[in-house]
Amino acid sequence: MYKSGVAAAMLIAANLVLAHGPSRLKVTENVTINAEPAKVWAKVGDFNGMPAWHPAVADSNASNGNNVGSQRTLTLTGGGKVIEELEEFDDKKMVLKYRMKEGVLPVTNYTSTLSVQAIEGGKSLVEWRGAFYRGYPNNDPPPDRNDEAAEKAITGVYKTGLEKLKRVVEQ
Amino acid sequence: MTGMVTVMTDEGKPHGRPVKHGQRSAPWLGDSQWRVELLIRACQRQLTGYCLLFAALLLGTVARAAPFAYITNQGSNDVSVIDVALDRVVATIPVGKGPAGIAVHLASQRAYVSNPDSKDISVIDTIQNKVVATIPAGDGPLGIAVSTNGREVYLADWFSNVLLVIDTTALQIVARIPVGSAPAGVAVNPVGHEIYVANRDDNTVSVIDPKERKVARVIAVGDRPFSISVGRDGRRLYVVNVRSNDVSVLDADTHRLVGKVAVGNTPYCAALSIDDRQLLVTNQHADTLSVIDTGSLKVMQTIAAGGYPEGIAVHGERAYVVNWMDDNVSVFDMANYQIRATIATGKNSRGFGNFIGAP
Repeated sequence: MYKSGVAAAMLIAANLVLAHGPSRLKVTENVTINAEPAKVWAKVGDFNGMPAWHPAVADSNASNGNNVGSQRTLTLTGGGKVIEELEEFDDKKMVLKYRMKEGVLPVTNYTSTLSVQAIEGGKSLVEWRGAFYRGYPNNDPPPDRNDEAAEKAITGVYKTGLEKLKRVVEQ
Repeated sequence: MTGMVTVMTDEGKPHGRPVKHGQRSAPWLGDSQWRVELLIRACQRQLTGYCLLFAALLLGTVARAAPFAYITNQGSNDVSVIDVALDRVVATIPVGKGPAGIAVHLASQRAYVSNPDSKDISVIDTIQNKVVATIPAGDGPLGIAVSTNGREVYLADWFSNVLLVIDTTALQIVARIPVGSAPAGVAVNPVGHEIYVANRDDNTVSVIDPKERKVARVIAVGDRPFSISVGRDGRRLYVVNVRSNDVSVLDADTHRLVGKVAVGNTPYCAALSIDDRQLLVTNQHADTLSVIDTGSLKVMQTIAAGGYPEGIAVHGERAYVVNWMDDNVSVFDMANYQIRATIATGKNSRGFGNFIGAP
């Protein structure tokens, strides 16, 4: 109990100091949805709306809707929480940007952009891209908090989310 | 071009070299190295008029003398070499692992790259555009700068909290100077020769005397300082604070804070125009560029850039902005801030430092 408490405290401390490793990493995933952008944006353009389209998010609670500075606490289906702050929201351009404040993902300094674009044939292209550093800020990271683990985690979040989003919107 | 040569003959013919009228280029200037040496000497003596004149001449013969932009690609472990006359990549040089920092010193024909993941520095010969040496250096080598005379390289070791001094002839570390916590950007004053280090986790800048090789002063700046830019006239430092979203402006003589300029979300790097009158700052999370008038310290314009812009360098009337998310470089015309070219580079391009080395 004590050991995990110390580890958790260190993780939080690391996040607060914004310490990070030397290499910044990125992931970009996208999906084409057979629906008009407005219909897609109605789902993803809701900072508090993730439970409706992301299989890993059981609950969400946002402090200030879609206003810049709004903080959402996501409760994950697998347990654990992620707290994220909205940094940009453009209803016209259909783009939102947010930053993770703390959470159970094995990453630090994580920021993300979610956008919807119109493509031919009345369809939409949704792009989800993120920038982050691995969970372990120093050299010689353990395997569950190295660069690979970080990339795998974020890729998983994006892929599973976009897959379900497509099904939800197209049904 | 002929007219320009005539002017140079009347005012600045160096060392009695003959001038031929009616020629399109300036043969008495010889090769690019000589041109750059003149420029550096003129600028060091603060002969601004000569400095600008030489700069203009340098640009006038840009087809033969154009420098390269060395863009470090942290994800593909290489450097994209852009010929700024052509605005395209002419070579890709494999370096160490996770390259991030870069410093170019044209007069000594060298570019130095920091590789934090392989914990070493790659030394590039800028004539052959290949690596001629690799020096093991520290635990997390990141920010890098070259002394004005090219004899020393200063490297911030982000994990060991020291500034390493590397002798460029011996290619060895000759000193380790303790600085603050998580040192990131390093810059050299081109006139006073002082070295500045941004201590990212202490929110300070260390001022180092290169002869004494110790910290002479520590100055408090904004939140999470990352990069430092110094004016060509050596009078001011501009420190970019990643977390407070602003730039701390310091007087290089008094080391006092003379101003703070609020910029965009998560600014990372900055570069000055040739006349030191504009400071361009990359706002990484806003995907924009802030253009600051250094006289009034006001943001004059905010320009849309690519995805996660980070490194930036100015050459002539152009700004080269490295877009880390998009893996490319946007070339802005500084007269109107239109993008005149977008050049694909390697993966996770950063360009952290003076990646061109010639004004």
